[in-house]
Amino acid sequence: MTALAINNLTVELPAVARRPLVADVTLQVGAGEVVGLVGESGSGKSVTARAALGLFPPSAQVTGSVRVAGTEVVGLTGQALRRLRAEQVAMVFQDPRASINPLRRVGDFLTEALRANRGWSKAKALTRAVELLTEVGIAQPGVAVRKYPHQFSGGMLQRVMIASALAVEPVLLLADEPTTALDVTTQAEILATLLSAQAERAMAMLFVTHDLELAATICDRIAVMYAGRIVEEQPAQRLFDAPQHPYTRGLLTATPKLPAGGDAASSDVAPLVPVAGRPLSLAENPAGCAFAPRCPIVVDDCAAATPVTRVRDGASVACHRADELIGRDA
Amino acid sequence: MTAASATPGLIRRRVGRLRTGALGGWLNIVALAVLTVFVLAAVFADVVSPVGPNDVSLSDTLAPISGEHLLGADQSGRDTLSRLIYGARGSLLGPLAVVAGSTLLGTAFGVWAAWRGGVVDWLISRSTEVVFAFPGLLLAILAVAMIGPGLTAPVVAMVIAYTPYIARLSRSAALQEAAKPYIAAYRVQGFSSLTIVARHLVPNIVPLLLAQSTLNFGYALLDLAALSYLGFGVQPPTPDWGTMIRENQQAVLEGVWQPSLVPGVCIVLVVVAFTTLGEAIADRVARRDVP
Amino acid sequence: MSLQVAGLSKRYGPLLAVDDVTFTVEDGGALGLVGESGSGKTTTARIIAGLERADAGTVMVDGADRAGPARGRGQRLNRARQIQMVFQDPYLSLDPRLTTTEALGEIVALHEPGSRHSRRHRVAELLDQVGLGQREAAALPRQLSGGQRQRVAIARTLAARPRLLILDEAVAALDVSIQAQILNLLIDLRRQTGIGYLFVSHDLAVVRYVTEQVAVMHSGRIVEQGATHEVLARPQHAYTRLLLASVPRRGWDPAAVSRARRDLHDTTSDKETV
Repeated sequence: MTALAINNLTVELPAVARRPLVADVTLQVGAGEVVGLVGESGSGKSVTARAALGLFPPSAQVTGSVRVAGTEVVGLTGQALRRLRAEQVAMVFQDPRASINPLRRVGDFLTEALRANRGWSKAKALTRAVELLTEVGIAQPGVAVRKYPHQFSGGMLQRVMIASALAVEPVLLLADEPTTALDVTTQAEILATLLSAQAERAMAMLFVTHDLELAATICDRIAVMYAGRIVEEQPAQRLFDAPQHPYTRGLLTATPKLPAGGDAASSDVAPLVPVAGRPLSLAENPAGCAFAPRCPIVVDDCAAATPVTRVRDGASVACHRADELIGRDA
Repeated sequence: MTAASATPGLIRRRVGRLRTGALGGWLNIVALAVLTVFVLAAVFADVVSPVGPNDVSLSDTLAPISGEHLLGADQSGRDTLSRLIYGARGSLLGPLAVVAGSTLLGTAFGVWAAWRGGVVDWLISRSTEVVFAFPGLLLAILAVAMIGPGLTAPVVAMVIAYTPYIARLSRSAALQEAAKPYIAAYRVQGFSSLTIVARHLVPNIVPLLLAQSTLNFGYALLDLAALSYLGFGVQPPTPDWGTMIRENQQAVLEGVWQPSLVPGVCIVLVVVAFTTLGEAIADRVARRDVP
Repeated sequence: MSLQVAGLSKRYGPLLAVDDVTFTVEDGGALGLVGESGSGKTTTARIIAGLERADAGTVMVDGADRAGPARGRGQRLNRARQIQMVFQDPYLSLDPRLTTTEALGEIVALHEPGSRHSRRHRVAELLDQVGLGQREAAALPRQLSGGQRQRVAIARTLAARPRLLILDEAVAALDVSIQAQILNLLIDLRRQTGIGYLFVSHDLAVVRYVTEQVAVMHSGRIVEQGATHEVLARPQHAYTRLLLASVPRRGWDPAAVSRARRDLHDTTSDKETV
């Protein structure tokens, strides 16, 4: 069964935003699959991910469908919503320090959900917590459960957060920029921990990030969002080899890269090619393609109508010029 | 901030707006209207007051509410409404002086402590704590002993008592503001400390101080009324709400409530109005800080 | 104007944040100061900018030490014209109450008083230099996007006509598509004005586009320095190698990088124990 199936999801906040936060998004994550959701500030990637938790902005107008393991999440309330979060979906956030109560010991934090949701005894829950901490690579887990959050480094605390997400035994794990607040060298460890836990459980994972290069290295498939819409979706490798949407191409040429083998010794650096202009703010809602004002290959049609998503050979692209682009080399 | 933070900010802003929705707006308007009425009455007391505040008419002693005395008369037969209107002057001017004085002093001390740090901060913070620990009532008695009875002594005492609150608030706000890189940028630009503090730091914490000072106005009014009631403030026969309650408490025991109750109700109205507005301003400030 | 930093040290309680740091930025040169959080790179930058005092060491500009507190208005302004600084967070590095024009005008008035006309002319010139238009000139910070705010912050530093610009993670908070715009702006500015850069960053890939020299910091010390392309191609120190290996790229294996990190920490002191 598909772990996460989002169909035509639209999230609007009329009092605050003139354009939808998320517009007509369709996305699937299969069991055991790692899907990357890539976009910049305000692209709607976090709102989309949180939808899987039934977490929408207050007073948001939501249409479309979000199914987790077959259960419809949109409109879910009370007991059913709590059960979804206790048994089906878990999330790891960007800033571990902001997502944990600083006054409670790590052990209490980890066991409280197990005891409340499954009615486990304190001893049983603690045993499980220690097991999970061992799995996420925390040395001396028996000591760690008695410590407070401030006694952990950011990287170590993020491991604790991963352990608490795994305690849910989720069908679907949402990772919202889980390494963005951490140091570069810590990032690799956190990702290795996440990926091995994911592989072992054949868990579905939706990995939200602004970093296309990062997503490409760890995801099976990537969806790129711009101004609330998915503009391109492809298997990760192909997205890199043959990006279709001009925005994806722009992101790739704008990303600073380390020298590859050949040009390493040279002091000449090929200049970056930025994407012109600036992202669409929530106060703007132009007709047609939202990327048109920044697009290097814009034509008159672009401002006239929102491009429909076309699918070909496992790649889907929302661009008026997709027919010319698909199949062409990057 | 990176990508993910845009949306939560937006959500929080929305929540804030919901909380102070239509009802909040309506309450604020009422509060503002109440205050306007009292201020106008105080300013134009000579015009709107039916008779003089000290006009004694012994035949009207403890007169009930009637066409002649809209709010009755007191023990000495003085018109309650007229005393109330004249009394509003001192009752509102007193807290105004307290708030102005404590805000100026408190901000100066608090910002100075935050900016200089070190010994200056230590001295100011410790002095603040000492004043905190000092009972306000004792302060007022000391002030009366030194300055003599009247409005001045309790106002001076309350300025001293309120300054630490503002100092503590402005110190923590200034510390937070001073840590922001725009202040560092001004330092690197070569601006003097005085310029940075006066032109950039203080104006950015003013909304917060305004919220606290508005709340303080209500508290100061209450405190001054209590001091008047105890006899440390405005002296009879000068009309004052706190004094009026005291003058007429004997009548309450005799079953005539209005000469004492009416000034009490006025105090409650003004205090609640200021608290409402103070909370509204504080709410706005909190929302302004959301990026 | 060359900047020579020698033997810089700074201690915060038990932590030696900056430990005997020595480097030189040549006139018009660009040095990348690279490290992770807690490496001491930002503290070093703040000492050079005059925002912190070093416990030991010198910060020499044109033969004069600027490590001590500035004496008087003249020296303050003089130091401002030597070195300026751009900060990481574009949301907090501008006074929220001032429009772009007001913010720039104030600094122009400080450094180049002159007539109202000449000041207005200079503000227009600064806006033009960083690629901001009429709309942005009249806007308050909250009405601007992150990239536009960072342009304002850069224009503000240029107002003093400094010879060296410290950029403290100046593009780290920006979206990728905007980051490249700002990096290219910095490259162009340097080409046009001959200004020097001290580019503080955690990101080796970014440093490569802006600097010729690089110094890698770890636990308060500089562990390796040299020509940027040399250090990237043939890193000598184990920490530099780990830093390079940590950048995600094709065929990247996070598990292998974490093993390398553990090995490095076994040999050096491990700060990140539970």
